[in-house]
Amino acid sequence: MIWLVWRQFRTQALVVAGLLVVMAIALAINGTHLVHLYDTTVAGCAQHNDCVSARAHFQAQAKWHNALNLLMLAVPALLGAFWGAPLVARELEMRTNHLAWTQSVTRTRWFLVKVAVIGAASVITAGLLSLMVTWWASPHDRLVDSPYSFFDQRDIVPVAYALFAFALGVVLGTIIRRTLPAMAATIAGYAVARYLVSEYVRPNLIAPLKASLPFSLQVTGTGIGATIGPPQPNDLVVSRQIATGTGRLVGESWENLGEFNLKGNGTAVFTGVGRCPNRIPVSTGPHWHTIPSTQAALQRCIDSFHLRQVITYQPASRYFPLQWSEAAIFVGGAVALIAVGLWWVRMRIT
Amino acid sequence: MTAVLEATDLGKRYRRKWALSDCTLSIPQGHVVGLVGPNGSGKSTLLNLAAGLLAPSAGRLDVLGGPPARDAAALGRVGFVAQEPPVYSAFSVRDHLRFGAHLNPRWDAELAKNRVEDLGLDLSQRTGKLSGGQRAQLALTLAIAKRPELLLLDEPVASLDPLARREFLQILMETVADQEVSIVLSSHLVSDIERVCDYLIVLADSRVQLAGDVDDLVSSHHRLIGARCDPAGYPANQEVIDASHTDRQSSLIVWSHGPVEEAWTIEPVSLEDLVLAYMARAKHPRSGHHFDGEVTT
Repeated sequence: MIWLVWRQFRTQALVVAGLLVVMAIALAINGTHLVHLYDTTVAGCAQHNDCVSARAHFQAQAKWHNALNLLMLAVPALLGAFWGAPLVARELEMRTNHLAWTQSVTRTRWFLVKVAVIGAASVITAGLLSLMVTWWASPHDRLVDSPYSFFDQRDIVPVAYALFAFALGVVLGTIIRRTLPAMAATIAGYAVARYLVSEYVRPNLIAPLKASLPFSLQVTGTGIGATIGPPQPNDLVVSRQIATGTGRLVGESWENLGEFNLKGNGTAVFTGVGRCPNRIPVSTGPHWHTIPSTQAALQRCIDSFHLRQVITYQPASRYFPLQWSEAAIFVGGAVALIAVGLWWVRMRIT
Repeated sequence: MTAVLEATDLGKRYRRKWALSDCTLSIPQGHVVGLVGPNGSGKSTLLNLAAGLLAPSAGRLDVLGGPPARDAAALGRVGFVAQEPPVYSAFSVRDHLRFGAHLNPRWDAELAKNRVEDLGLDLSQRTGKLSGGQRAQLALTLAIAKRPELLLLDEPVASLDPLARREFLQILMETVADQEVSIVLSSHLVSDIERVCDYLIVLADSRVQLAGDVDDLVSSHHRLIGARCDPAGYPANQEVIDASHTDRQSSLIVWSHGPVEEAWTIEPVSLEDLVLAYMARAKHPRSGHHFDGEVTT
């Protein structure tokens, strides 16, 4: 059986292996150059006081970054469409299953060996690719220091994504029985699954931490400015709310907090938050809010609410636990899909 | 005599349409069995059920004493050549022989190699470029070289030209002579069946119309020619399968139970006429009585 799978699969396997070798060489050469550039410019930039230009120069040199990120997003879907979907569908289309299923090999073994060999090839492909890209991008990612921005494209999860997409392709090909529609359905189904998990499951895989931080709004000549941010810039913010000192939630973002509603008699309402305890002196003229005394009164009003931002977040230290957890979800999904595929091949194609 | 294929009330339904229903038959071992019937009569369905590619919707089917394709050993005992036999078009002829060797523990490499050489096939040729006849021969080689006890051939010659058809059947017969193998071969052409088969099953309207040893069938059926008469005038001790009339004559194909009255001229009936008579009866049933069981003479 392994001979048969290899004979059917060898051309594609060799093409992909060749591409991986070419990529490995290119990334090794370019990556070594980037490591050297990082060590000589960015690493010591603080002493020379030219970090802004050093970082800009480095990022301009790491010009493959976006393309590689895109590649990492696409590869699992492509493996699912080109290796998973045709695995059974193409045999059904060409009727070669009639030949394969009447040899001295059960359908179960035929299916499982095919899935094991080509599934392993998918895992190895995605794994090697992730290894190369993660290494190549490591100086750049260190510079940006935002691990969750490239969560989907580094380390462990791409391997699990590839296995899942492959299994999805196998099952859809088995059920749909036509290669091309199965390929399209695989890409669409994979995209939906990935979106749902990254949007709704990943932030809550581990109960997010909660932080309540002072939140300051400054009245300036042109309006209200805010100083906000996650506890650390490299954390993953799950939710952000703004509350008053008494714990009353007043909005999700300071842009939605509204404006001051000034009355002629000096009373004012900070829309969406509450009535100002102090009087706001209002003078006529188009630039009343640039008058220092008015600004000071508005600032006192804002300060009186003791606004805080309440944040739930995943700290950067949870990057790898989250990677493993999400990978486990996709691997579990892949196993379940393969079980469905096996059942379908045995019971429904009759 | 053990049965290589035993069906009891066997039925197969695709969505709402029954492709085969109430099929009860027993095929004895050691025969070359011809399965004839019009297109759509369920021949292909029956063979696919026997190969384990389809599962019955009703009834029961045993192949070589058990459900078909239940395990690798059962699969190994049955060879199957599908209609317009599929091959891996990207594989060479040599790859197909390796395929057979890797997937069948009882593979006879010597036999396969000799057959391919006798056929004049180029081992390194891609099978996508073979003619229909060559593909059918290759598929037959794969099925024979796995050394099955039962060989199922679904319309193996339907897509072949007359010369390739004759060659295929001849090679089939030579192979059978060397091996102890039972064969079930479907066709809608009686001439193919007549050339190679010693046992006949007529399937029409998804039911078995006739089954038995070819010689027995031919010797127990007769054509009777006499003065034109209506059904009331048919000989009482003969079962009339089919009747045709001219202005002055009636010609009956009968299954003889006893001696024929002198008023009728007796002529032998060809296998083809016999099959056509049973197919015609299936199409326009004159009586509910069907021939069943083997002919005893």
